[in-house]
Amino acid sequence: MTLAFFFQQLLNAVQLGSIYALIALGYTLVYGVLRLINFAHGDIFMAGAFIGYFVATLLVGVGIGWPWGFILTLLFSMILTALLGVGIERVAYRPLRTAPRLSVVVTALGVGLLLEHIALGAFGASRRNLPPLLPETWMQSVEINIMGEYLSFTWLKVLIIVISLLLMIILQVIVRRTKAGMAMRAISYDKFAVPLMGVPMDRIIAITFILGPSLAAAAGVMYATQYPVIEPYMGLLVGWQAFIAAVVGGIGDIRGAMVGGFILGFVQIFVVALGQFPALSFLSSTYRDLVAYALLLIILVVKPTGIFGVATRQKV
Amino acid sequence: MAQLPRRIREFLGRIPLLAYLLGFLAATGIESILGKTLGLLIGLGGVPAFFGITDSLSRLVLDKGLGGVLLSLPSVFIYFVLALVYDVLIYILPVFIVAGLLSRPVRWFVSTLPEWLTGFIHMVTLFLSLWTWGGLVEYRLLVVMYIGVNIIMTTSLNLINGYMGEFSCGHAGFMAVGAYVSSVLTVWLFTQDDVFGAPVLRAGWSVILFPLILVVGGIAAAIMGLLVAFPSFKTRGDYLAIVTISVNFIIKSAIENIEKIGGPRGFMGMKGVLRTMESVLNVPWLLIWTFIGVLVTLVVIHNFVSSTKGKGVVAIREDEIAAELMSVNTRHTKILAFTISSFFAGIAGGLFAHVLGYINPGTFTIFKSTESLVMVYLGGMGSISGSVLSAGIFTLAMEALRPLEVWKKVLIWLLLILLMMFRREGIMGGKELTDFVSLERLGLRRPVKEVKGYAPAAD
Repeated sequence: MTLAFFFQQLLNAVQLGSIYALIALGYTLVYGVLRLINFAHGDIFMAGAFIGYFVATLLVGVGIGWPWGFILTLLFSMILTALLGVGIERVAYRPLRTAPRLSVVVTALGVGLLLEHIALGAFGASRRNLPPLLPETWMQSVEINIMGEYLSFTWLKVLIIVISLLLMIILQVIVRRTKAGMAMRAISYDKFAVPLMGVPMDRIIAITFILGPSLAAAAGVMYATQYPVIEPYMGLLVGWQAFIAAVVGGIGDIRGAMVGGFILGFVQIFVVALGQFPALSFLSSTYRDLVAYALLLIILVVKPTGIFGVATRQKV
Repeated sequence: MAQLPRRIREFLGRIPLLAYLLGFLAATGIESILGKTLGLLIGLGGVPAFFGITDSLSRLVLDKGLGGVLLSLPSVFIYFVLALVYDVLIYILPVFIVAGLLSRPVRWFVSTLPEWLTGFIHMVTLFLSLWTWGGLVEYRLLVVMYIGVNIIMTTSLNLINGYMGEFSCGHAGFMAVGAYVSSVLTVWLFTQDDVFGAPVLRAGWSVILFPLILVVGGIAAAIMGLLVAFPSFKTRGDYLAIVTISVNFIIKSAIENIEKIGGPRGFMGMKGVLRTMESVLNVPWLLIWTFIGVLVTLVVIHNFVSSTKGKGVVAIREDEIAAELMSVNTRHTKILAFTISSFFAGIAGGLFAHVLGYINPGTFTIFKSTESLVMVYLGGMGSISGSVLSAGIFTLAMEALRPLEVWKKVLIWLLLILLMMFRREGIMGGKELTDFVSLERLGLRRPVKEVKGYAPAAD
């Protein structure tokens, strides 16, 4: 493997991984606070991409282009998707706050499939492309010379990585430095004692459902710019991968979600990349999912709570 | 609401089950003679496939926006009312008249026979009525077999999700294994195929070997079930759910990568197997085997959860550590539960593949698993009769609502969410049908003779 090839794949992996990480953060935030696997999160990502599509079409139609078109699309889709997330929590999850956890998980699964099929019924199965929000030159590949080898990349990839990292830093600040973040961490530590200390449970949960879906919406818009495909089933494909990332890192742990996202991005990109070598040609791109899920299975068997997860001790 | 169980109990207990079955048989007989004439007479244009629900919904105009939907509503309504007249005349009146008339003779007749014979007569009557009902419209027969497949899926999943209290959401993966293994075997052995060449065995063998091949598919699925069973020693709850999902994805992905059995394009040729079997003896083979498959599943799972081992399964649900202390071998029990469950999922898969005649990996995704989950929760966790009931209702509803296209799915998932909000315990709420009405009243068991000094428990 040449160095340039390696760096090129590394860039791809980091870019894919950062999108996975953004979605995985949503899974992990909700799990941390509610102990609920929010199976609807993948479809919230899909909804974010669709909202982004409509906002972008509107903005481009009005004549707002780069850079404000892109920034506003990102912003509006984050806000609207956050509203959707809070709405879902209010309507579907809050009435089940005292129900057995299994019922809530089933509800989450149902909400996800509901969103998916509403999108399918309302917008059809046809694939849509995001209108061009970025200047042409950002999409074209640029080549730089590294020791006689050419490394090609697009500025779009760099942009995605930068925005993702920025959002993750903002999230870290919110969770680590603000009162709401402190309350979130406290609730995930002890769900029963913390409300007694005067922490408004419902409001903190609502904040969680603002943060997670808005990150997913950002991921959705960026995913749609990079891979110009918006369709009702995209949540199923990308959402589940992100979910694996969250579990691999240890669901409920924010660092875990980020690390898990990048690990999964690396694994998937390099399974495909290694298949380009004659000796490993059996590794076609169709093995991508197989390897990802096998990885998940192995991690769960060896370390059932993921890389950063703390083992829950059962009281006897 | 509190009165409801008693009402149902009284209503169900009045007339023995066999009388209802005979009533249904009579109704299907009347339909096959008079149905078409009556349908034409009322203005339905023939025999309505599903009590007129599908046909009335297919009058709904979906592709012209909301206005189209609203404009087409009257014609839907008129057709529905006409179909209702048909249903009353063909089904409801005959069933209740025949059942009412036969109630006393049947109760006497049943009490003279040994119990195994009574059960057998019930089964034969049910089978015959399903056959005549399905024989009238080909599509109905297909749906009856789907219901059978779904009953097997739901009951076997209920063993894990209901009785053992784990959250398995990858049941379709095991179904896929059973479907592929048995289809490949039957196509290889009994038909001329592009990939596998000429049939290996003579046609006569197909009739004998078909159930054995289904069992082989089931065993293959049970072996894959170990993939979930071993992680379940260390992992519980959410994480085990993830294991099951990933096993589902792994199986689907693995099948997609095996070129020889069609990869993502799918596998077909099972219709040829059916033709081979019918060339030997022309009876509805698949209906027979689906029927037997359902019976065997119900009996085995019922007996398993009633056995000592099965009580161990329930003990694990309640408290795993306490169960371990009370000498339940949790590892052994888990392996047993997972293999039995996935074995029957494999059988369901084999039947499903031969009913449909074509399978592809995309059939066995998380959607299919979730459908099974919905049926389990609809029927109620830990209730076999609930599973049977919900599989029947759900499958019929799925087929009847087919004209609604995508919105059908929206309705179904909405139903699931509402169910979780308002009736979390499902239709049966963890109870069996026999908790409401005793087997004696149903006419499935001979009444207990009064012994002096012993009062039988009131039902």
